[in-house]
Amino acid sequence: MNWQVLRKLGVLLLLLLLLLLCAKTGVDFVYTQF
Amino acid sequence: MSDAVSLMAPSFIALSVFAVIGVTALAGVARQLVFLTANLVFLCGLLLPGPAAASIAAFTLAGYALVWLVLSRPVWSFRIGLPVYVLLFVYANNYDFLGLVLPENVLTSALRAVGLSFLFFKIVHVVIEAHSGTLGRVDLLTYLNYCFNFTTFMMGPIQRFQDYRDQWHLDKQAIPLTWEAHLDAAVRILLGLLKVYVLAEWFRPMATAGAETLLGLSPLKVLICLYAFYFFLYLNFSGYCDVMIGIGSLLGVRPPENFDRPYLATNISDFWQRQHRSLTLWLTDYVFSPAFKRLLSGQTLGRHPLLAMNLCLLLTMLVSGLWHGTTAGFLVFGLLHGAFLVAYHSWDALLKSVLGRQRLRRWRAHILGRLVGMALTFHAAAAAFVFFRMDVASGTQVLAKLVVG
Repeated sequence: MNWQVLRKLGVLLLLLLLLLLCAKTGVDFVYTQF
Repeated sequence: MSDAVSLMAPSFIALSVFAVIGVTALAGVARQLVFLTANLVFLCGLLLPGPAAASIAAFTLAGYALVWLVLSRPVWSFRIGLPVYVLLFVYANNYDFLGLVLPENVLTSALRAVGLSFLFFKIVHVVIEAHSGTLGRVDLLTYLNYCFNFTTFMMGPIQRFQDYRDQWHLDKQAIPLTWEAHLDAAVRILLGLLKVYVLAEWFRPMATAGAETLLGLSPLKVLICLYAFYFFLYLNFSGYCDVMIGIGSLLGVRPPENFDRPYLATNISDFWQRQHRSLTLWLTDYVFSPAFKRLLSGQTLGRHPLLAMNLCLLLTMLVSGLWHGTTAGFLVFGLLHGAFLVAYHSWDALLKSVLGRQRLRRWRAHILGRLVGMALTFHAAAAAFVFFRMDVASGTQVLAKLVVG
């Protein structure tokens, strides 16, 4: 596994962590409201 | 109408995993059937209540019947069938203006469904392309999966049939078959979720303030709320597209790109090349270009190309407004953007004649010219979005408050 792939895996884990910590529930989509 | 699906719900994640594994592991009819199963579970199980799902199914099958007719009896079926199909959409979508021409007991909102407008544009595209002879045979399973594709059904992007079919039949690769490309797709999904479920939500309280609240605020605060709605809409919609493009890439059928940093647009024409691009391309191909070609070939407007172009721009944005929603606010939204485009192209033509092409190009490339263009475009787009979220009278009052104070 090269450095690029490891870096992307790191970003993936970071994003996952951010989502788990900060994501809100009950979100709707603006474009489905019209 | 049901609420939209949550992209973080276990049911949606399980469905996506099932579709990715099934579509990449299987071949032939089994692959088609697995994808159709995933799409139908999404539509009937997660997204739409019974009557809306039935409406979508009937609308899709009527579209296939029209495609079949157009392929076998090209002339009359296209000339009669397409307008009838458009009327069917107008009726099913229950436009406000129908109340002026139809008795109330005939009108119903039961046929309206999330995704109907996107489905309508996809099917009209297939019908027109079938008529022009660019599609060849359209088999039912491919057509159904194209129409119901859960990565493009709810809010686009509006994928072209040829693009979908080429990728499905592996004539075109969605992404390179490398770990890196697959990781990129996964990162994009998470980035999209972050946009929708974290970043957009920061703007929501300000973005969704009602007309009464806005009218009680100072003009500066109203302006900030308009900015907030712009960013909220961008993050909410482009985040959704990121998720779907990521899932589609893993599936092997990647939906088209829909956004390219619209807030950096230096003019309103550039804005529509960056915002909801799949819609802009559709409108260019099937509304603007045919109308412009027809007007240019005429005796009167053929000698006035700028006037012909401006009329076609107004028509195109009128269609865009009507497509976005069923109320008068959306009509105003479309006409306002039409007016912006007309003003921009007329101003551009004037500057070209006064300054000449070379000097105009130099001015445009200058950082100051670009910044002025970006600021103007950003404010024009933010102002027009007012009619996305409130009725014409309230929207006009809010904009008047900004100008008059």
